[in-house]
Amino acid sequence: MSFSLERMDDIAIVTVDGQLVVTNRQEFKQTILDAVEQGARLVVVDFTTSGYIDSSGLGALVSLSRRLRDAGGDLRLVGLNEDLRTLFELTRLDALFPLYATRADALAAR
Amino acid sequence: MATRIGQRGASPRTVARGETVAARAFLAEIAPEATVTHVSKRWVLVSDLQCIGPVVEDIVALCAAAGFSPRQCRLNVPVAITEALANAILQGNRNVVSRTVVVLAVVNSERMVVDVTDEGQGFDVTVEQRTPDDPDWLEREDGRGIFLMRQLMDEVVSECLEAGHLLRLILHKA
Repeated sequence: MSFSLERMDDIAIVTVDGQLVVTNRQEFKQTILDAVEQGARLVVVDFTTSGYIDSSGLGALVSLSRRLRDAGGDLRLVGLNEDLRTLFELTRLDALFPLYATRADALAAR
Repeated sequence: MATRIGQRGASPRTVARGETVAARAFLAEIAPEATVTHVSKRWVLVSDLQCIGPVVEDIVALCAAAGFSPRQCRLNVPVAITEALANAILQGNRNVVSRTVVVLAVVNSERMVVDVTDEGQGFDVTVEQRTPDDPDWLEREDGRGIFLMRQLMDEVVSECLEAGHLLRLILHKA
């Protein structure tokens, strides 16, 4: 798994490529925490090219969401395929995260 | 004593038993209409999280070759096996690298059975029953692994052994 970060003003867009699991969730989390530390308040995580997520990955997203809310910001998820949506529905985390089809949708909803 | 719950995994000191993936590929080449009916593979892993990925990939490949659905191969199998292996390494073996995790995967045309054995003392299933109905569920960073395994597998069994803990994941082909 790898991920890339794009910054525009107080917006950070993170693209996840591959799995978000126990082996890489810390790196993923730290990347976003650093962006928040540097002023990002709207973080959009794009899973369009992602594989699967395990409970550690879900936990990292939960933690980041809380951190952003505490900072007056928001964490939004885009590009979840049917499998990933199933994971969020099973765990009911779809109630915690705003899910959008595309980056444009996530940014327009601001 | 066996209790319904989940399972765990191990790394690339690989010991293959029965037909291997290579053998299956060979059979498919010489007799493409033939169906391999039973494949088993065993791994003995050190407690290193980096061992998880290759084992998960191998087991997914076994299931795909046995005709499990794409969705099972993309979601159910990799997520549940990843959870089981991470549990074994982090909880069972307390991340002590010298402690081993043994994984035995048996896949046939009907089902997948994966046993993950660690050197830990196991855990009380009755206190690991967290569900989305728990009041703090949405805010928790951890505690969803066993729930996910149970949701994604047909059966999850936990058994305390004399020396270690066994978690068994069973999934029937869709």
